[in-house]
Amino acid sequence: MDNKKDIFNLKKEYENPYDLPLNYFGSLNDDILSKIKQEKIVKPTKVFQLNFLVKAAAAIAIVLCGYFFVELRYSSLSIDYTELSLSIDDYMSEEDELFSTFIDNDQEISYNYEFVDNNINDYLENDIY
Amino acid sequence: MTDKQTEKHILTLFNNPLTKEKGFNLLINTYKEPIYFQIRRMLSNHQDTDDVLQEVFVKCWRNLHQFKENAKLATWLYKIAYNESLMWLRKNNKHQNLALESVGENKAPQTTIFSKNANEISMLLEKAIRTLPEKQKYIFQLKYFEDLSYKEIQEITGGSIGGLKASYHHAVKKIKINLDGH
Repeated sequence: MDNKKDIFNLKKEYENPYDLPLNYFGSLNDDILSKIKQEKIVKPTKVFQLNFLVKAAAAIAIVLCGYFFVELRYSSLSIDYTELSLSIDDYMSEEDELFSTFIDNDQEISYNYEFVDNNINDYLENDIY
Repeated sequence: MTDKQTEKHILTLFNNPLTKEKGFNLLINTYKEPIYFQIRRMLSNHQDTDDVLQEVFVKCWRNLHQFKENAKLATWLYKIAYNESLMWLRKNNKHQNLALESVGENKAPQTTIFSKNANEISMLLEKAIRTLPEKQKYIFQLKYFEDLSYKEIQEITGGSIGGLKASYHHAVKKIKINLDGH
C-alpha cells in the first residue's frame, strides 16, 4: 500500500487503537480529586508560624547565652588598677619589712652570739670556779 | 472558544477559591485525552499510564497557582507529563530488568495494548512509533499528533530547535522504513 509510506496521509485515517477500560475518562476527574483530598488528610498541617517562632527563639537564646558568657568571663578579669597599685605597695612594704628584719636579725644574731658567748664564758668562770 | 481563551478561563476559575474545583475539572476535561495518549505511547501499559496521568494532574493542582500566564498552559502540562513519564521509566527500568533476569528469558511480559477493534493502519503506526528512542518518540508525537511548533516542543523537552528538527526528521524516516517492512 503506497499510502502507508506517506505517514502524513495516515494521520487522516488514524483512530486511537489503544485498549482502555470502559468509561475510563468519565470517572477520571473524580479519581483525581479524591486522590488530592486523600493527600490533604494524610499530610499533617504545617504550622508555619510555630516553626518560625521556635527558630527565632532558638536564635535569640544562642545570642543571649553568648553575650552572658562573654560578659561573665571578662567581668571576672576586670582589674581596678588603683587597688592593684595599693596591693603591690603593701606587698613591697611587707617584703621590705621582712628584708629589713632579716638584716636586723642578722645583726641581732651576730650581736646575740657575741653576747651569749661572753655570757657563757662568764657563766663558766663563775660556776666552775 | 480558542485555546488561549480556554486557558484564561481555566486560570480565572482556578485562582478563585470559590470556583477552584470547577476550574480544575475544566482543565482535566480539556487535556486528559492528549496527555493520556502521550504517556501511553511512552509506557504502553494502561495501569501505569493511569498512575502517571493522575500524578501529573495532582502536581498541576499543587502548582498551578505559580503558573506564569505568559507561557502556554498546554506546554506547561505536557512538560510535567514528559518529566513524570521519564521518571517512571527510569525508576521502573531496573525492576523490569531484574524481573526478566529472574525468569531467565529475554521476553517482555504479555500485556494487552491494542483494542480488538483497532484500525490496522493505526496499530501499525503505533507499533512503529514504539520502536523509537524515548525522547525522539515524545518529540515525534508532540509534532505529529499535537501539531506543536518547534519552539513549544523546545520548552517541553529542551534542546536546540535545530536538534529537534533533526530528531523529528529521523523519526519520520525510521517510521517510514518500519511501515515499508509491513
